Amino acid sequence: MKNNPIPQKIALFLVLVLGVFTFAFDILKFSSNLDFSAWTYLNETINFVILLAWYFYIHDKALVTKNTIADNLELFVKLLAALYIWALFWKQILAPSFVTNEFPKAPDTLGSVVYSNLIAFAAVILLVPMLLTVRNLILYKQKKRTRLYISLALGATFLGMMVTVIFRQPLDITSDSAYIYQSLTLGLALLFYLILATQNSWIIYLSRKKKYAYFLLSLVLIWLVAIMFDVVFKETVAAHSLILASFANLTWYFFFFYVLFGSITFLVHLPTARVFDRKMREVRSLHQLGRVIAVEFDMKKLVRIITEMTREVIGSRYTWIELYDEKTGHLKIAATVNMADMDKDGLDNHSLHQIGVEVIESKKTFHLNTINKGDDYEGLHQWKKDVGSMAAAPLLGGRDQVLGILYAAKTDAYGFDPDDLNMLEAYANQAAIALENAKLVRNSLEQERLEKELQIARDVQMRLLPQKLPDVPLQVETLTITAYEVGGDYYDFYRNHKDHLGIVIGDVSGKGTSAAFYMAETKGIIQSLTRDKRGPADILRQTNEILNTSLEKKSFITLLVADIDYRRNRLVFARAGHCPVIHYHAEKDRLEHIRPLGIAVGLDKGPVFNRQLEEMEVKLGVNDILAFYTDGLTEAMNADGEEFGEERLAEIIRQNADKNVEGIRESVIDAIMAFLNDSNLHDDLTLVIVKNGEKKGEVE
Amino acid sequence: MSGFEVRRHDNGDVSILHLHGFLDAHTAPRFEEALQNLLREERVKIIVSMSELDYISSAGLGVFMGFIEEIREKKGDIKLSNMSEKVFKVFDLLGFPCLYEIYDDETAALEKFNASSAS
Repeated sequence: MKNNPIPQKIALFLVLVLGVFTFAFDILKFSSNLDFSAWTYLNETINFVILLAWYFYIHDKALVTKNTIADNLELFVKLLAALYIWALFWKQILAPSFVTNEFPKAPDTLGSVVYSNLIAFAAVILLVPMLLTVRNLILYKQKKRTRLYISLALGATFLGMMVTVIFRQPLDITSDSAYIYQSLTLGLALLFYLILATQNSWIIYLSRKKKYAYFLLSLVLIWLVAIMFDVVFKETVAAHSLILASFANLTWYFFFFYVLFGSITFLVHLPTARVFDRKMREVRSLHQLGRVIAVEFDMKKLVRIITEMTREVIGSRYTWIELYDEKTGHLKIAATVNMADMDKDGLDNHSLHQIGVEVIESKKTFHLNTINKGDDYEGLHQWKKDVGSMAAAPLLGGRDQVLGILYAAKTDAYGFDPDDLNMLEAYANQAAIALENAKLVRNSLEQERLEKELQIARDVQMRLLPQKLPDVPLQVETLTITAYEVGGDYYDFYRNHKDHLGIVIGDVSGKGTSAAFYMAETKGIIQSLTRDKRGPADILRQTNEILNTSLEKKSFITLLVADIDYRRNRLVFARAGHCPVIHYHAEKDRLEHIRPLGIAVGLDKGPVFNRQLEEMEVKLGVNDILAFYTDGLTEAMNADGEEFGEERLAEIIRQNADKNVEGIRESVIDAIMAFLNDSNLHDDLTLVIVKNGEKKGEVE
Repeated sequence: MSGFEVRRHDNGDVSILHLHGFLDAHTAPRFEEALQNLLREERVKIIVSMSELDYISSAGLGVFMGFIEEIREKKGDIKLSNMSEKVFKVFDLLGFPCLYEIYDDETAALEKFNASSAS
């Protein structure tokens, strides 16, 4: 008795001391006719305290708080056996006898006194834990009112004990009006016991084997419990204490009912036990499969698990899955159970192909009850002699397309009942879901990777663009709007002459990381070339020469290099396949699209490029505006498929020419946004605006 | 983006590819595949007819660049025809006219192929 808290120790102590005390008094009373009027009630009270103390001591012990069915049943049987052994053993030794014509019957010999005490004590010690085990079984599948019924039954039991003590009459149902209270109390108690006796749904969930085993056990128990009262308790306990006698009596009623009803319930559920077992297995396996599918994306593992489960539940001899191979357009074996490699080779069988075709065409489950000579599917025996029946279910995808086929074969004819076919379909469905699920996950991982790549490309692009505007006596403003997929737009400023501003604008073909990579390369090359005093055409020629060797065949870059001499109000520029320059003449309020000859970088090794390239010089008036842009701006498309166009851009510049460059930039943005009207940009868009404003101290 | 389609017609040893719709980074691989197939069959005299082409992006233009070298090495050529004004502007801006022969219609391009093989 370890780790008992103090109150429990006291309880145990009370049980022992009071037990010995009442025992001693019984002996004294028998041998010396000692008696006093209050003793009877004192004795009953003490025995009631013993009962309560014992319950208090035992109720939370591990032994009686187990919640498995087998543990509780085992304990019940053990305690019952202990009760019998204890009673029969002492009966042999003490040979008790009782005076027969009064109630309670008085013991005849000293041995009988001892015997009645020993049995009463056993009734307390053993019946309480037995009741607790039955309570555990009742609570195994608790319902809304279960606890209420238990309380009511306990209340009725207590009432019955009181009535017995007060009237000193045995509990019995008679029509005699003298026993009206006993009859009513017992009737009430029996009613609640009957209700509790029906609370045995734990039986339903037992496996078939256990149902059979426990049914046989229950037959023995009915008999043992039925004779328990007569053999063990009857007059014996009553001789010692009426309260314990009535407790034993009522407990016996309850046990009898419970065992009897239990036995009947077992009997009722035996015929359906096999089906119930199977349903439980199905539910369990589908549940398990659902869990597996949610976490397992390895196709190989998944189809193996599904085939294995199919075999387990359906009980097929050979089970396998064939999956549709998107590359070859053929079905391919993905997983097999109980099949050697030799058997797998045999799957290349005419009859099996025929079944496959039938399933794919009908998109329905196929099944074959028998295989006879001369049948369509006789050929199955060439694959396996012992195949008696066959079934195959399609794995249907979300768009009703066949992703594969789940096959199962049994050795007996008529092996597949409707349940088997339903389950086969269920597994095929689960397999289809798993397949699609795994595919989705793969795609979303791929998507995530691309997304990350794009983010990197965007970051690179943003870092390659100049972070601030050049400090020159010109108004300069830039605009960059990047598309979802990086388009490869690029611009930069350089200073390689005093009083000159160099502008580079370009567009790398392609998108994403490769575009960002070429942008970086171009920027590096141009930055190194502009360290020397080269003119625009020279810069472009050199760039083409260098880039030609490293560019992919199908990639090219359009570039425009402009050199503005703001002291002499002169623009020199060259264009390598890039968009023209828009020049607004403030004095004449006129627009000009200037397009010198020149092909894109990367199209030609040098001869054609160099021959074509043309350098142009333009005189700039006061308040003249230059616009450099990429095709993303002029090719920006609205929902109607209309392009923004260079004319529209030029016109906006002309209309807003009296504004400063910030104002012009705002106007362009507004116009583009109004034009796009929620359509997406599919390419980057870049604009560099330069206005040759009036300069201080320029009067010559 | 709208769809894209390549149709092929063989005329003697010249193959004509008709492009329809939008040729951009997403549809370019299909055009590449068509050219790849012609190369595999050793058919290197190719006319790309663009009367039905609505749009061409830099990736679409890149396809020509990817194949022209190999085709010319094999004594073949890609000639372009039937460009809409809009499509021509794109080719022109990049300087393609000085690298590729561009014709108003397929017959003119065919004649050019036949003339060069006759000589």
